[in-house]
Amino acid sequence: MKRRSFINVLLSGGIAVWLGSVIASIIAYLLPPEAAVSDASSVKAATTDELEPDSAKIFQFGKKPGLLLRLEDGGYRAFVAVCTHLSCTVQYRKDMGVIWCACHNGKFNKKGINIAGPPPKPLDELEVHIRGEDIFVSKPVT
Amino acid sequence: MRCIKYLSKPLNLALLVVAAVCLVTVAIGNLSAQEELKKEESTCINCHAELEDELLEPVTRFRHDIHYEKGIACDGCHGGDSSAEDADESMDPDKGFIGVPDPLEIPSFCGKCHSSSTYMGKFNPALPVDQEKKYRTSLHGKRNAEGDRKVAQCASCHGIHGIRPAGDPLSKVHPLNVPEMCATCHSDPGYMKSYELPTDQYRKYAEGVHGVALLQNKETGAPACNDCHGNHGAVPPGVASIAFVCGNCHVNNMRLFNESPLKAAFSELHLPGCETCHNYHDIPKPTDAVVGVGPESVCRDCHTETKRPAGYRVAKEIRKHLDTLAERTRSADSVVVEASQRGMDVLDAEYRLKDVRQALIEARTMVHSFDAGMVKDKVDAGLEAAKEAVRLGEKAIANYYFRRKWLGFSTLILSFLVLMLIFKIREVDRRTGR
Repeated sequence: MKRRSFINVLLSGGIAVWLGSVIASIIAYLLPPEAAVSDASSVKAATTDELEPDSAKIFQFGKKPGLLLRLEDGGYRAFVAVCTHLSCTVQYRKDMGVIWCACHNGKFNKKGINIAGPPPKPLDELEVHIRGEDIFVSKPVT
Repeated sequence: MRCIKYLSKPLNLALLVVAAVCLVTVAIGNLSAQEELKKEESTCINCHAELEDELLEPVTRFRHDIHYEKGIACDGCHGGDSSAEDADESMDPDKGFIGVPDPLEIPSFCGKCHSSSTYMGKFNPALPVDQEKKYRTSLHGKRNAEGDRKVAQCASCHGIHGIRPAGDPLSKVHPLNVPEMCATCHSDPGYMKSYELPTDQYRKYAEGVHGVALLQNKETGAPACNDCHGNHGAVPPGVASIAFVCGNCHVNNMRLFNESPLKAAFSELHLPGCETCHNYHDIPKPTDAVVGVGPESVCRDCHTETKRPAGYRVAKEIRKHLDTLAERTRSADSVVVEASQRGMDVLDAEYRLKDVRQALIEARTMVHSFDAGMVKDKVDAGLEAAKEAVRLGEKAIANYYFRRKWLGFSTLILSFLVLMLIFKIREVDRRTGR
Protein backbone atom coordinates (compact mmCIF):
# COMPACT_ATOMS: atom_id res chain seq x y z
CA MET A 1 0.00 0.00 0.00
CA LYS A 2 1.26 3.41 -0.92
CA ARG A 3 1.84 5.95 1.79
CA ARG A 4 -0.93 8.17 0.37
CA SER A 5 -3.46 5.34 0.44
CA PHE A 6 -2.39 4.39 3.95
CA ILE A 7 -3.00 7.93 5.23
CA ASN A 8 -6.34 8.07 3.41
CA VAL A 9 -7.46 4.79 5.01
CA LEU A 10 -6.44 5.96 8.48
CA LEU A 11 -8.06 9.35 7.98
CA SER A 12 -11.29 7.83 6.67
CA GLY A 13 -11.37 5.33 9.52
CA GLY A 14 -10.77 8.07 12.08
CA ILE A 15 -13.53 10.20 10.60
CA ALA A 16 -15.89 7.21 10.59
CA VAL A 17 -15.23 6.47 14.29
CA TRP A 18 -15.61 10.15 15.16
CA LEU A 19 -18.89 10.34 13.25
CA GLY A 20 -20.02 7.16 15.02
CA SER A 21 -19.34 8.66 18.46
CA VAL A 22 -21.23 11.84 17.51
CA ILE A 23 -24.23 9.85 16.23
CA ALA A 24 -24.17 7.55 19.28
CA SER A 25 -24.26 10.60 21.57
CA ILE A 26 -27.21 12.03 19.65
CA ILE A 27 -29.11 8.73 19.83
CA ALA A 28 -28.36 8.42 23.58
CA TYR A 29 -29.66 11.97 24.04
CA LEU A 30 -32.84 11.32 22.08
CA LEU A 31 -33.72 8.08 23.84
CA PRO A 32 -35.57 8.60 27.17
CA PRO A 33 -33.35 8.16 30.24
CA GLU A 34 -33.85 5.12 32.45
CA ALA A 35 -34.85 7.18 35.47
CA ALA A 36 -38.52 7.99 34.93
CA VAL A 37 -38.47 10.68 37.59
CA SER A 38 -36.01 13.49 37.85
CA ASP A 39 -35.48 15.74 40.82
CA ALA A 40 -37.67 18.29 39.12
CA SER A 41 -40.20 20.10 41.23
CA SER A 42 -43.19 18.61 39.37
CA VAL A 43 -44.14 15.02 38.48
CA LYS A 44 -47.12 13.31 36.95
CA ALA A 45 -48.63 11.40 39.86
CA ALA A 46 -51.71 9.78 38.32
CA THR A 47 -54.47 10.14 35.78
CA THR A 48 -57.96 11.36 36.65
CA ASP A 49 -59.54 7.92 36.16
CA GLU A 50 -56.99 6.18 38.38
CA LEU A 51 -58.23 6.86 41.90
CA GLU A 52 -61.63 6.21 43.43
CA PRO A 53 -62.95 8.79 45.90
CA ASP A 54 -61.58 8.16 49.42
CA SER A 55 -58.45 6.38 48.22
CA ALA A 56 -54.81 7.22 47.69
CA LYS A 57 -51.63 6.15 45.92
CA ILE A 58 -47.94 6.43 46.58
CA PHE A 59 -45.81 7.84 43.78
CA GLN A 60 -42.16 8.71 43.44
CA PHE A 61 -41.49 12.38 43.98
CA GLY A 62 -37.79 12.85 43.36
CA LYS A 63 -35.98 10.73 45.90
CA LYS A 64 -38.94 10.76 48.28
CA PRO A 65 -42.33 9.08 48.11
CA GLY A 66 -45.38 11.24 47.59
CA LEU A 67 -48.97 10.49 48.60
CA LEU A 68 -51.79 11.52 46.31
CA LEU A 69 -55.08 11.44 48.19
CA ARG A 70 -58.45 11.61 46.49
CA LEU A 71 -61.00 12.99 48.92
CA GLU A 72 -64.58 11.82 49.27
CA ASP A 73 -65.82 14.91 47.43
CA GLY A 74 -63.57 14.05 44.48
CA GLY A 75 -60.92 16.68 45.22
CA TYR A 76 -57.23 15.90 45.52
CA ARG A 77 -54.52 16.57 48.08
CA ALA A 78 -50.88 15.55 47.92
CA PHE A 79 -48.17 15.30 50.54
CA VAL A 80 -44.58 14.20 50.86
CA ALA A 81 -45.30 10.73 52.23
CA VAL A 82 -42.48 10.88 54.77
CA CYS A 83 -43.47 10.68 58.42
CA THR A 84 -42.16 13.62 60.42
CA HIS A 85 -41.16 11.30 63.26
CA LEU A 86 -38.51 8.95 61.87
CA SER A 87 -39.03 9.41 58.10
CA CYS A 88 -40.95 6.19 57.41
CA THR A 89 -43.28 6.15 54.42
CA VAL A 90 -46.86 6.89 55.40
CA GLN A 91 -49.94 5.46 53.72
CA TYR A 92 -53.65 6.23 53.58
CA ARG A 93 -55.86 3.96 55.72
CA LYS A 94 -59.39 4.04 54.39
CA ASP A 95 -60.66 2.03 57.38
CA MET A 96 -59.41 4.70 59.80
CA GLY A 97 -59.83 7.68 57.50
CA VAL A 98 -56.31 8.88 58.31
CA ILE A 99 -52.82 8.93 56.87
CA TRP A 100 -50.96 6.37 58.90
CA CYS A 101 -47.35 5.51 59.63
CA ALA A 102 -46.69 1.80 60.08
CA CYS A 103 -43.48 2.32 62.06
CA HIS A 104 -44.88 3.90 65.23
CA ASN A 105 -48.58 4.26 64.52
CA GLY A 106 -48.37 7.97 63.85
CA LYS A 107 -51.55 9.45 62.40
CA PHE A 108 -52.25 12.50 60.28
CA ASN A 109 -55.63 13.77 59.20
CA LYS A 110 -56.54 14.30 55.56
CA LYS A 111 -55.01 17.76 55.73
CA GLY A 112 -51.70 16.20 56.71
CA ILE A 113 -51.87 17.51 60.27
CA ASN A 114 -50.39 15.23 62.93
CA ILE A 115 -53.24 14.11 65.17
CA ALA A 116 -51.93 11.08 67.07
CA GLY A 117 -48.75 9.21 67.92
CA PRO A 118 -45.20 10.49 67.91
CA PRO A 119 -45.02 12.67 64.75
CA PRO A 120 -44.13 16.18 65.93
CA LYS A 121 -45.09 18.08 62.79
CA PRO A 122 -47.60 17.95 59.93
CA LEU A 123 -46.67 16.36 56.60
CA ASP A 124 -45.22 18.64 53.92
CA GLU A 125 -48.02 19.45 51.52
CA LEU A 126 -47.58 19.49 47.75
CA GLU A 127 -49.60 21.27 45.11
CA VAL A 128 -51.92 19.35 42.81
CA HIS A 129 -52.59 20.52 39.25
CA ILE A 130 -54.94 18.75 36.87
CA ARG A 131 -54.09 19.19 33.18
CA GLY A 132 -56.50 17.32 30.95
CA GLU A 133 -56.51 13.75 32.22
CA ASP A 134 -53.19 14.01 34.00
CA ILE A 135 -52.62 14.91 37.63
CA PHE A 136 -49.37 16.70 38.30
CA VAL A 137 -47.96 17.26 41.74
CA SER A 138 -45.40 19.93 42.44
CA LYS A 139 -43.53 21.56 45.26
CA PRO A 140 -45.39 24.60 46.54
CA VAL A 141 -44.06 27.93 45.40
CA THR A 142 -42.48 29.67 48.36
CA MET B 1 -61.61 99.30 86.51
CA ARG B 2 -59.00 98.72 83.89
CA CYS B 3 -60.27 95.10 83.66
CA ILE B 4 -63.85 96.20 83.07
CA LYS B 5 -62.63 98.60 80.51
CA TYR B 6 -60.71 95.79 78.81
CA LEU B 7 -63.73 93.48 78.76
CA SER B 8 -65.98 96.18 77.44
CA LYS B 9 -64.35 95.73 74.06
CA PRO B 10 -66.39 93.06 72.18
CA LEU B 11 -63.36 91.33 70.61
CA ASN B 12 -61.56 90.91 73.93
CA LEU B 13 -64.71 89.53 75.57
CA ALA B 14 -65.19 87.01 72.78
CA LEU B 15 -61.59 85.81 73.08
CA LEU B 16 -61.99 85.36 76.82
CA VAL B 17 -65.17 83.30 76.40
CA VAL B 18 -63.51 81.05 73.82
CA ALA B 19 -60.52 80.50 76.14
CA ALA B 20 -62.80 79.66 79.06
CA VAL B 21 -64.78 77.16 76.98
CA CYS B 22 -61.54 75.48 75.89
CA LEU B 23 -60.27 75.21 79.45
CA VAL B 24 -63.56 73.75 80.71
CA THR B 25 -63.61 71.22 77.82
CA VAL B 26 -60.06 70.09 78.56
CA ALA B 27 -60.83 69.83 82.29
CA ILE B 28 -63.97 67.76 81.64
CA GLY B 29 -61.98 65.58 79.21
CA ASN B 30 -59.29 64.93 81.82
CA LEU B 31 -61.89 64.15 84.44
CA SER B 32 -63.62 61.66 82.12
CA ALA B 33 -60.30 59.96 81.32
CA GLN B 34 -59.44 59.65 84.99
CA GLU B 35 -62.86 58.24 85.78
CA GLU B 36 -62.49 55.81 82.90
CA LEU B 37 -59.06 54.80 84.20
CA LYS B 38 -60.38 54.29 87.69
CA LYS B 39 -63.31 52.33 86.38
CA GLU B 40 -60.99 50.15 84.30
CA GLU B 41 -58.23 49.70 86.83
CA SER B 42 -60.30 49.51 90.03
CA THR B 43 -59.43 50.79 93.45
CA CYS B 44 -57.27 47.76 94.21
CA ILE B 45 -54.99 48.35 91.23
CA ASN B 46 -54.83 52.10 91.75
CA CYS B 47 -53.77 51.71 95.38
CA HIS B 48 -51.41 48.78 94.86
CA ALA B 49 -49.76 50.58 91.94
CA GLU B 50 -48.50 53.13 94.45
CA LEU B 51 -47.14 50.51 96.83
CA GLU B 52 -43.80 48.72 96.65
CA ASP B 53 -42.31 45.24 96.38
CA GLU B 54 -44.67 42.33 97.02
CA LEU B 55 -47.65 44.67 97.31
CA LEU B 56 -46.88 46.18 93.90
CA GLU B 57 -46.12 42.85 92.24
CA PRO B 58 -49.76 41.72 91.83
CA VAL B 59 -50.49 44.84 89.75
CA THR B 60 -47.44 44.38 87.51
CA ARG B 61 -48.18 40.72 86.92
CA PHE B 62 -51.94 40.99 86.69
CA ARG B 63 -51.78 43.13 83.55
CA HIS B 64 -50.58 40.00 81.66
CA ASP B 65 -53.04 37.68 83.35
CA ILE B 66 -55.69 35.83 81.35
CA HIS B 67 -58.28 36.81 83.98
CA TYR B 68 -57.44 40.50 83.53
CA GLU B 69 -57.70 40.08 79.75
CA LYS B 70 -61.15 38.53 80.18
CA GLY B 71 -62.28 41.47 82.32
CA ILE B 72 -62.26 39.74 85.70
CA ALA B 73 -61.29 42.25 88.38
CA CYS B 74 -59.46 41.57 91.65
CA ASP B 75 -62.70 41.10 93.59
CA GLY B 76 -63.58 38.26 91.20
CA CYS B 77 -61.14 36.09 93.17
CA HIS B 78 -60.35 38.00 96.36
CA GLY B 79 -63.85 39.20 97.12
CA GLY B 80 -64.51 42.72 98.50
CA ASP B 81 -65.49 45.57 96.25
CA SER B 82 -63.00 46.75 93.64
CA SER B 83 -65.24 49.65 92.71
CA ALA B 84 -65.39 51.16 96.21
CA GLU B 85 -63.27 54.28 96.33
CA ASP B 86 -62.20 53.79 99.91
CA ALA B 87 -59.53 51.12 100.50
CA ASP B 88 -61.07 49.91 103.77
CA GLU B 89 -64.45 49.63 102.11
CA SER B 90 -63.05 47.73 99.14
CA MET B 91 -61.34 45.28 101.53
CA ASP B 92 -64.32 44.95 103.85
CA PRO B 93 -64.78 41.32 105.04
CA ASP B 94 -68.49 42.03 105.17
CA LYS B 95 -68.32 42.45 101.41
CA GLY B 96 -66.71 39.03 101.07
CA PHE B 97 -63.07 40.16 101.08
CA ILE B 98 -60.82 37.19 101.78
CA GLY B 99 -57.41 38.67 100.97
CA VAL B 100 -54.61 36.17 100.37
CA PRO B 101 -56.12 32.69 100.35
CA ASP B 102 -54.62 29.94 102.45
CA PRO B 103 -52.81 27.30 100.29
CA LEU B 104 -55.25 24.74 101.64
CA GLU B 105 -58.15 26.77 100.29
CA ILE B 106 -56.72 27.59 96.87
CA PRO B 107 -58.14 24.54 95.02
CA SER B 108 -61.69 25.37 96.06
CA PHE B 109 -60.89 29.09 95.66
CA CYS B 110 -60.07 28.53 91.96
CA GLY B 111 -62.67 25.79 91.67
CA LYS B 112 -65.44 28.27 92.50
CA CYS B 113 -65.35 29.35 88.89
CA HIS B 114 -63.29 26.68 87.16
CA SER B 115 -65.57 23.84 88.26
CA SER B 116 -68.65 25.56 86.92
CA SER B 117 -69.41 24.73 83.31
CA THR B 118 -72.07 27.46 83.25
CA TYR B 119 -69.63 30.13 84.38
CA MET B 120 -66.62 28.93 82.35
CA GLY B 121 -68.80 28.49 79.28
CA LYS B 122 -69.17 32.25 79.13
CA PHE B 123 -65.44 32.62 78.52
CA ASN B 124 -64.34 29.39 76.84
CA PRO B 125 -66.83 26.53 76.47
CA ALA B 126 -63.99 24.20 75.41
CA LEU B 127 -62.21 24.45 78.77
CA PRO B 128 -62.57 21.40 81.02
CA VAL B 129 -64.19 21.98 84.41
CA ASP B 130 -62.97 18.87 86.20
CA GLN B 131 -59.57 20.16 87.31
CA GLU B 132 -60.47 20.41 90.99
CA LYS B 133 -62.10 17.01 90.95
CA LYS B 134 -59.02 15.44 89.37
CA TYR B 135 -56.74 17.36 91.69
CA ARG B 136 -58.49 15.84 94.68
CA THR B 137 -57.59 12.39 93.34
CA SER B 138 -53.92 13.26 92.91
CA LEU B 139 -51.21 12.84 95.51
CA HIS B 140 -50.89 16.62 95.64
CA GLY B 141 -54.63 16.97 96.23
CA LYS B 142 -54.75 14.29 98.89
CA ARG B 143 -51.90 15.85 100.85
CA ASN B 144 -53.46 19.27 100.46
CA ALA B 145 -56.69 17.89 101.90
CA GLU B 146 -54.69 16.46 104.79
CA GLY B 147 -53.41 19.93 105.63
CA ASP B 148 -50.04 19.99 103.85
CA ARG B 149 -49.45 23.65 102.93
CA LYS B 150 -46.21 22.88 101.05
CA VAL B 151 -47.73 20.55 98.52
CA ALA B 152 -48.52 21.82 95.04
CA GLN B 153 -51.89 23.44 94.45
CA CYS B 154 -53.20 25.48 91.51
CA ALA B 155 -51.01 28.54 92.10
CA SER B 156 -47.84 26.44 92.50
CA CYS B 157 -48.03 25.39 88.87
CA HIS B 158 -50.04 28.11 87.14
CA GLY B 159 -48.53 31.04 89.00
CA ILE B 160 -50.12 33.89 90.86
CA HIS B 161 -51.63 36.93 89.12
CA GLY B 162 -49.54 36.47 85.96
CA ILE B 163 -51.51 33.40 84.94
CA ARG B 164 -51.39 32.73 81.19
CA PRO B 165 -53.23 30.12 79.10
CA ALA B 166 -51.33 26.83 78.72
CA GLY B 167 -50.84 27.46 75.01
CA ASP B 168 -48.93 30.69 75.67
CA PRO B 169 -45.18 29.98 75.44
CA LEU B 170 -44.66 32.25 78.45
CA SER B 171 -47.06 30.21 80.58
CA LYS B 172 -45.50 28.10 83.32
CA VAL B 173 -47.58 25.18 82.11
CA HIS B 174 -46.73 25.48 78.41
CA PRO B 175 -45.40 22.05 77.31
CA LEU B 176 -41.87 23.41 76.89
CA ASN B 177 -41.92 24.86 80.42
CA VAL B 178 -43.62 22.03 82.30
CA PRO B 179 -40.46 20.04 83.22
CA GLU B 180 -38.76 23.10 84.68
CA MET B 181 -41.96 24.08 86.48
CA CYS B 182 -42.26 20.66 88.13
CA ALA B 183 -38.54 20.75 88.92
CA THR B 184 -39.02 23.93 90.96
CA CYS B 185 -40.17 21.70 93.81
CA HIS B 186 -39.15 18.21 92.73
CA SER B 187 -35.47 19.10 92.18
CA ASP B 188 -35.17 20.98 95.47
CA PRO B 189 -33.66 18.54 98.01
CA GLY B 190 -34.58 20.78 100.93
CA TYR B 191 -38.17 21.14 99.82
CA MET B 192 -38.60 17.45 99.03
CA LYS B 193 -36.78 16.17 102.11
CA SER B 194 -39.91 15.66 104.18
CA TYR B 195 -41.50 13.64 101.37
CA GLU B 196 -38.52 11.30 101.04
CA LEU B 197 -38.67 11.58 97.26
CA PRO B 198 -35.68 11.60 94.90
CA THR B 199 -34.80 14.94 93.35
CA ASP B 200 -32.93 13.80 90.24
CA GLN B 201 -35.95 13.28 87.98
CA TYR B 202 -35.49 16.50 86.04
CA ARG B 203 -31.77 15.94 85.47
CA LYS B 204 -32.43 12.38 84.34
CA TYR B 205 -35.36 13.42 82.15
CA ALA B 206 -33.36 16.23 80.52
CA GLU B 207 -30.63 13.74 79.57
CA GLY B 208 -33.11 11.18 78.26
CA VAL B 209 -34.51 10.87 74.76
CA HIS B 210 -37.75 12.65 75.64
CA GLY B 211 -36.01 15.49 77.47
CA VAL B 212 -33.60 16.09 74.60
CA ALA B 213 -36.50 16.12 72.11
CA LEU B 214 -38.56 18.56 74.17
CA LEU B 215 -36.01 20.78 75.86
CA GLN B 216 -33.27 20.88 73.23
CA ASN B 217 -35.09 20.25 69.97
CA LYS B 218 -38.25 22.06 71.11
CA GLU B 219 -40.46 19.26 69.77
CA THR B 220 -43.69 19.92 71.62
CA GLY B 221 -44.94 16.47 70.59
CA ALA B 222 -42.39 14.92 72.97
CA PRO B 223 -43.75 14.09 76.41
CA ALA B 224 -43.28 16.37 79.40
CA CYS B 225 -43.89 15.25 83.02
CA ASN B 226 -47.67 15.60 82.78
CA ASP B 227 -47.94 13.37 79.70
CA CYS B 228 -46.96 10.32 81.77
CA HIS B 229 -48.03 11.38 85.26
CA GLY B 230 -51.18 13.31 84.41
CA ASN B 231 -51.51 16.99 85.26
CA HIS B 232 -54.30 17.82 87.64
CA GLY B 233 -54.66 14.18 88.67
CA ALA B 234 -50.88 13.67 88.88
CA VAL B 235 -49.83 10.31 90.27
CA PRO B 236 -46.82 8.11 89.67
CA PRO B 237 -47.87 5.46 87.15
CA GLY B 238 -48.05 2.04 88.78
CA VAL B 239 -46.18 -1.01 87.55
CA ALA B 240 -49.23 -2.34 85.74
CA SER B 241 -49.96 0.91 83.95
CA ILE B 242 -46.46 1.76 82.69
CA ALA B 243 -46.99 -0.02 79.36
CA PHE B 244 -50.28 1.81 78.90
CA VAL B 245 -48.65 5.15 79.61
CA CYS B 246 -45.81 4.54 77.14
CA GLY B 247 -48.23 2.85 74.74
CA ASN B 248 -50.22 6.05 74.35
CA CYS B 249 -47.53 7.12 71.91
CA HIS B 250 -45.59 3.90 71.24
CA VAL B 251 -48.67 1.99 70.16
CA ASN B 252 -46.98 -0.67 68.03
CA ASN B 253 -44.39 -1.43 70.67
CA MET B 254 -47.07 -1.87 73.31
CA ARG B 255 -49.19 -4.08 71.04
CA LEU B 256 -46.24 -6.30 70.15
CA PHE B 257 -45.15 -6.56 73.77
CA ASN B 258 -48.66 -7.42 74.96
CA GLU B 259 -48.90 -10.16 72.34
CA SER B 260 -45.46 -11.54 73.21
CA PRO B 261 -44.65 -14.31 75.67
CA LEU B 262 -42.75 -11.81 77.79
CA LYS B 263 -45.95 -10.08 78.83
CA ALA B 264 -46.92 -13.00 81.07
CA ALA B 265 -43.34 -13.54 82.23
CA PHE B 266 -42.97 -9.89 83.28
CA SER B 267 -46.31 -9.99 85.11
CA GLU B 268 -45.24 -13.09 86.97
CA LEU B 269 -42.06 -11.39 88.13
CA HIS B 270 -43.92 -8.11 88.86
CA LEU B 271 -41.71 -6.31 86.37
CA PRO B 272 -43.04 -3.18 84.65
CA GLY B 273 -43.41 -3.58 80.90
CA CYS B 274 -41.27 -0.82 79.44
CA GLU B 275 -39.02 0.55 82.14
CA THR B 276 -37.41 -2.82 82.84
CA CYS B 277 -35.42 -2.42 79.62
CA HIS B 278 -35.74 1.30 78.87
CA ASN B 279 -35.56 2.89 82.36
CA TYR B 280 -37.76 5.80 83.29
CA HIS B 281 -36.96 9.53 83.35
CA ASP B 282 -33.44 8.92 81.94
CA ILE B 283 -34.69 6.89 79.00
CA PRO B 284 -31.73 6.55 76.62
CA LYS B 285 -32.13 6.72 72.86
CA PRO B 286 -32.38 3.02 72.07
CA THR B 287 -29.62 1.43 70.00
CA ASP B 288 -29.13 -2.09 68.67
CA ALA B 289 -26.53 -2.58 71.41
CA VAL B 290 -29.24 -3.02 74.07
CA VAL B 291 -30.52 -6.07 72.18
CA GLY B 292 -28.67 -9.37 72.14
CA VAL B 293 -26.05 -10.74 74.48
CA GLY B 294 -23.30 -8.11 74.21
CA PRO B 295 -21.95 -6.07 77.13
CA GLU B 296 -24.59 -3.32 76.73
CA SER B 297 -27.46 -5.75 76.30
CA VAL B 298 -30.42 -5.49 78.66
CA CYS B 299 -31.53 -9.01 77.72
CA ARG B 300 -28.60 -10.37 79.72
CA ASP B 301 -30.13 -8.96 82.89
CA CYS B 302 -32.51 -11.92 82.84
CA HIS B 303 -31.10 -14.33 80.23
CA THR B 304 -27.73 -16.03 80.15
CA GLU B 305 -26.48 -19.18 78.52
CA THR B 306 -27.46 -21.08 81.63
CA LYS B 307 -30.30 -18.98 83.08
CA ARG B 308 -33.41 -18.93 80.89
CA PRO B 309 -31.26 -19.89 77.85
CA ALA B 310 -34.12 -19.86 75.33
CA GLY B 311 -34.42 -16.10 75.70
CA TYR B 312 -30.65 -15.79 75.42
CA ARG B 313 -30.70 -17.60 72.08
CA VAL B 314 -33.61 -15.53 70.77
CA ALA B 315 -31.88 -12.31 71.81
CA LYS B 316 -28.70 -13.40 70.07
CA GLU B 317 -30.55 -14.27 66.88
CA ILE B 318 -32.56 -11.04 66.84
CA ARG B 319 -29.37 -9.05 67.25
CA LYS B 320 -27.74 -10.99 64.42
CA HIS B 321 -30.63 -10.08 62.09
CA LEU B 322 -30.54 -6.43 63.12
CA ASP B 323 -26.77 -6.26 62.65
CA THR B 324 -27.03 -7.83 59.20
CA LEU B 325 -29.55 -5.24 58.02
CA ALA B 326 -27.78 -2.35 59.74
CA GLU B 327 -24.50 -3.33 58.08
CA ARG B 328 -26.17 -3.79 54.70
CA THR B 329 -27.88 -0.41 55.11
CA ARG B 330 -24.53 1.25 55.74
CA SER B 331 -22.88 -0.42 52.74
CA ALA B 332 -25.83 0.39 50.44
CA ASP B 333 -25.70 3.94 51.70
CA SER B 334 -21.98 4.25 51.00
CA VAL B 335 -22.39 2.91 47.44
CA VAL B 336 -25.16 5.41 46.72
CA VAL B 337 -23.20 8.27 48.31
CA GLU B 338 -20.14 7.35 46.22
CA ALA B 339 -22.25 7.41 43.04
CA SER B 340 -23.75 10.73 44.09
CA GLN B 341 -20.31 12.22 44.79
CA ARG B 342 -19.24 11.23 41.30
CA GLY B 343 -22.04 13.42 39.98
CA MET B 344 -24.36 10.62 38.89
CA ASP B 345 -28.14 10.70 39.10
CA VAL B 346 -29.00 8.44 42.06
CA LEU B 347 -32.64 9.36 42.64
CA ASP B 348 -33.91 5.80 42.19
CA ALA B 349 -31.21 4.37 44.42
CA GLU B 350 -31.97 6.92 47.14
CA TYR B 351 -35.65 6.13 46.82
CA ARG B 352 -34.88 2.45 47.42
CA LEU B 353 -32.61 3.38 50.32
CA LYS B 354 -35.64 4.87 52.05
CA ASP B 355 -37.25 1.44 51.97
CA VAL B 356 -34.12 -0.04 53.51
CA ARG B 357 -34.12 2.45 56.36
CA GLN B 358 -37.83 1.95 56.93
CA ALA B 359 -37.36 -1.83 57.09
CA LEU B 360 -34.63 -1.30 59.69
CA ILE B 361 -36.93 0.88 61.80
CA GLU B 362 -39.74 -1.66 61.51
CA ALA B 363 -37.38 -4.51 62.36
CA ARG B 364 -36.26 -2.62 65.47
CA THR B 365 -39.90 -2.10 66.45
CA MET B 366 -40.51 -5.80 65.85
CA VAL B 367 -37.94 -6.57 68.56
CA HIS B 368 -40.82 -6.00 71.01
CA SER B 369 -42.42 -9.19 69.73
CA PHE B 370 -39.36 -11.11 71.00
CA ASP B 371 -39.92 -13.33 67.99
CA ALA B 372 -36.78 -13.78 65.87
CA GLY B 373 -38.89 -14.97 62.92
CA MET B 374 -40.94 -11.78 62.82
CA VAL B 375 -37.79 -9.68 62.99
CA LYS B 376 -36.25 -11.75 60.20
CA ASP B 377 -39.24 -11.14 57.92
CA LYS B 378 -38.73 -7.39 58.19
CA VAL B 379 -34.97 -7.75 57.83
CA ASP B 380 -35.38 -9.86 54.68
CA ALA B 381 -37.58 -7.17 53.11
CA GLY B 382 -34.88 -4.63 54.00
CA LEU B 383 -32.10 -6.79 52.56
CA GLU B 384 -34.01 -7.11 49.29
CA ALA B 385 -34.41 -3.33 49.11
CA ALA B 386 -30.72 -2.88 50.01
CA LYS B 387 -29.73 -5.25 47.22
CA GLU B 388 -31.70 -3.17 44.73
CA ALA B 389 -30.25 0.08 46.08
CA VAL B 390 -26.73 -1.33 45.77
CA ARG B 391 -27.45 -2.54 42.22
CA LEU B 392 -28.67 0.91 41.21
CA GLY B 393 -25.74 2.60 42.96
CA GLU B 394 -23.16 0.28 41.39
CA LYS B 395 -24.79 0.72 38.01
CA ALA B 396 -24.45 4.48 38.38
CA ILE B 397 -20.77 4.08 39.33
CA ALA B 398 -20.19 1.72 36.38
CA ASN B 399 -21.85 4.26 34.13
CA TYR B 400 -19.50 6.91 35.49
CA TYR B 401 -16.41 4.80 34.60
CA PHE B 402 -17.95 3.92 31.23
CA ARG B 403 -18.29 7.59 30.43
CA ARG B 404 -14.71 8.31 31.52
CA LYS B 405 -13.33 5.48 29.40
CA TRP B 406 -15.24 6.61 26.36
CA LEU B 407 -14.20 10.19 26.90
CA GLY B 408 -10.58 9.01 26.90
CA PHE B 409 -11.18 6.88 23.83
CA SER B 410 -12.86 9.68 21.89
CA THR B 411 -10.02 12.04 22.84
CA LEU B 412 -7.56 9.51 21.42
CA ILE B 413 -9.57 9.25 18.21
CA LEU B 414 -9.73 13.02 17.87
CA SER B 415 -5.99 13.33 18.49
CA PHE B 416 -5.37 10.60 15.91
CA LEU B 417 -7.59 12.42 13.42
CA VAL B 418 -5.71 15.67 13.93
CA LEU B 419 -2.43 13.80 13.38
CA MET B 420 -3.71 12.19 10.21
CA LEU B 421 -4.92 15.53 8.94
CA ILE B 422 -1.46 17.00 9.48
CA PHE B 423 0.10 14.11 7.51
CA LYS B 424 -2.50 14.53 4.78
CA ILE B 425 -1.88 18.24 4.48
CA ARG B 426 1.88 17.67 4.26
CA GLU B 427 1.38 15.00 1.63
CA VAL B 428 -0.88 17.23 -0.46
CA ASP B 429 1.68 20.04 -0.11
CA ARG B 430 4.45 17.74 -1.31
CA ARG B 431 2.35 16.56 -4.25
CA THR B 432 1.49 20.02 -5.38
CA GLY B 433 5.14 21.12 -4.85
CA ARG B 434 4.37 23.91 -2.41
